[in-house]
Amino acid sequence: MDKSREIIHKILDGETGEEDRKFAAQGMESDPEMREELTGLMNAVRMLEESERHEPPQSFTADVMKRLPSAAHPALAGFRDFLFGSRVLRWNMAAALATAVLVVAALALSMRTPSLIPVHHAETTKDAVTVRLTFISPEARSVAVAGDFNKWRTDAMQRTGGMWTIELKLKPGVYTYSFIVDNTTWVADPGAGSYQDDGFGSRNAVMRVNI
Amino acid sequence: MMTDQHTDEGELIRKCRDNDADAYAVLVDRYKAMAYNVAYRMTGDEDTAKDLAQESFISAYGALKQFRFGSKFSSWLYSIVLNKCRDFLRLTKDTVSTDDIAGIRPDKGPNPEQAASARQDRDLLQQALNALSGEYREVLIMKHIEGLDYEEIAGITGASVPALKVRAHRGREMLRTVLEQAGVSHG
Amino acid sequence: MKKHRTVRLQGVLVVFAACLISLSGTAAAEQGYIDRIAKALEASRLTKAEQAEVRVQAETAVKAGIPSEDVELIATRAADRGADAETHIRLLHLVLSVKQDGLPAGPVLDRIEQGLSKGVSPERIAAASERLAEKMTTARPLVDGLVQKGMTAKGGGDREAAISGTARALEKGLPPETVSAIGALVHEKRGSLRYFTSVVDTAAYFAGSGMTAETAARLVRHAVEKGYGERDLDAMVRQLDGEMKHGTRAEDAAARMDRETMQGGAGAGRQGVMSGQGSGSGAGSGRGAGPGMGGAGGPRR
Repeated sequence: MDKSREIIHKILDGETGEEDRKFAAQGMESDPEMREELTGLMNAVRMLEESERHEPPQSFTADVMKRLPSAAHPALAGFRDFLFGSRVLRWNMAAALATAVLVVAALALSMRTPSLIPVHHAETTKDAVTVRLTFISPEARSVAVAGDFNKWRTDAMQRTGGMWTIELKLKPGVYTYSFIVDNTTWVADPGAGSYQDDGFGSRNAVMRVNI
Repeated sequence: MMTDQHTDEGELIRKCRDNDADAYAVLVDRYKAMAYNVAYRMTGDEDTAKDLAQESFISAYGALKQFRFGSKFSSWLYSIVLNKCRDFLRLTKDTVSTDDIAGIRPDKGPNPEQAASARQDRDLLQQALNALSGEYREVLIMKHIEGLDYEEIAGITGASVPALKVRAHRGREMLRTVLEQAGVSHG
Repeated sequence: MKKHRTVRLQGVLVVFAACLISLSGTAAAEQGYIDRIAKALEASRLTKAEQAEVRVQAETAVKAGIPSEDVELIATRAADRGADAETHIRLLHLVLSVKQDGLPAGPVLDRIEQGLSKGVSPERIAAASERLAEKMTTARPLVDGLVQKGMTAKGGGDREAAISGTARALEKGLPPETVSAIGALVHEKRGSLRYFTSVVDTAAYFAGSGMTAETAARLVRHAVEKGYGERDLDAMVRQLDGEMKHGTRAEDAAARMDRETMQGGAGAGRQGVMSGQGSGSGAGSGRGAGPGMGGAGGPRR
């Protein structure tokens, strides 16, 4: 039956030779199980091949052209793409920026209390360095951090008001990491020292610890 | 004929890079049905399909610099559309697990009319496709609806041909199971 | 099909070997990882035969020296993500072959673990990791050449990071000759291997942001010529980031940054020191509302 199944799929792939077709023909005649299998699969494939083609709405092209950046403002193209391009489905950069702007306004009011200004803080002990990471997102329900220092496991961050923090003990070196908002959206730390492509079309934040 | 279309496209793309909006409109017109259909079959929803297809064209326009002349615009566009669909599916986590396959039933009750029955089958096909995981859906749509060969699908998805064949085999078997359990039979 | 018979036989051998090992008791802790992998696989949609195949691959990888923690992570996360048997095996086989080729397994393990955590499709992870491994094969002689010429390297960590960074730059389209030339320039300026890694990482980031490979390479070459240190390179990345947020295209930002560099670095602070010394903490403030709000790095004036 395994060989039959293999041949059936070859037939459906359109890749059968003379031998295979003979085998299939014989099998169809003598083996009811094979016949049923092939028929069932052929029906499924035929439904796909004969499926109705869905037409896009009339205004499709016009809508696309409207949404394209105009030649007069080529700068906006990069801006829009950066904010709303597919990368952003993962970063939610637009949301992060929006949140950041809100918080800057709030912080401007509270400039007298420097302890509220979020800073990535590092204290040195003998070997490992304690690094504090912060991320501002009052609307988030949860924020976690993942990086090459914890094999990309998600470690939950603590919330204080609209600010999320975590303390990590790291040996001196260069590390890549990212925040995860609400278990779904990966955001490269807007306050990172540097960034690096992640190999999947997104990017990670980079931090240098005592280097 | 094929060569003409190919050269013609190269010309169009060159014009687009020079901000010739009319040239891009021609490309969009040429490929909108393909992009929309793939997005619809992947997501099962017309509005979503329209959004994703449009976004694909907008992304493509922004990324025209990265398009390699000599390769097919359609292949490139396919990969953009599939990526958008994958992102969408991942965020909405819409896939029905295989445990739910038995629960797939046609929306309408049995109807003796030929047209109604055909419509049922059509809806059913999409429901059955929705029950498959994204990877199986992709290869079945590319292979049996869009009619591409494995080499081209490999170029579009980045998967190897053997891996694609395995997925096509499993996808077909799963699709058959879902359809049969939902009572679809052909003469 | 032949495959299943071989798996059954291997399965028997594995069980036999496992019995022997557990008798000695020392491998009890290690054995834990196989149990956890087995549990994760049972909850997946893999058939019994496929599960056995994956377990065998996992054990082979560990026996070859891949840490069991990583193998367990990969196998269990892949199972959670619904990877099929072929992909499971592809991933485990990849780390095994990287190890067998004498390449550092770390960067590949990192990419796989990262992809699985991020929910990237296992197929795509396998493709992206294979691509990295392939580029690492080209990167290794390049890096070893620099070390042989006398570039300072502090142990295996620096070499591994350099191979990984070079591979990523190659992934982004920088030709090997270009990367070699950058290496020669860094060497000329007495830069360390770690500094070289920052340079190629920066070039890779530039190229990934939309600059052509040539532009990216030129930009970092000029920075090296002007004595930019690692923090200065970081500042360039942040500057690009800020410019792009305001709608500037990468190539245009590159032109501006290049001008600033060649005019004597009006943009980045000259923190210098190519051997990679630096003071203070890692990143700046978490506000990120725009450029110039960075903390410890070189601010734009």
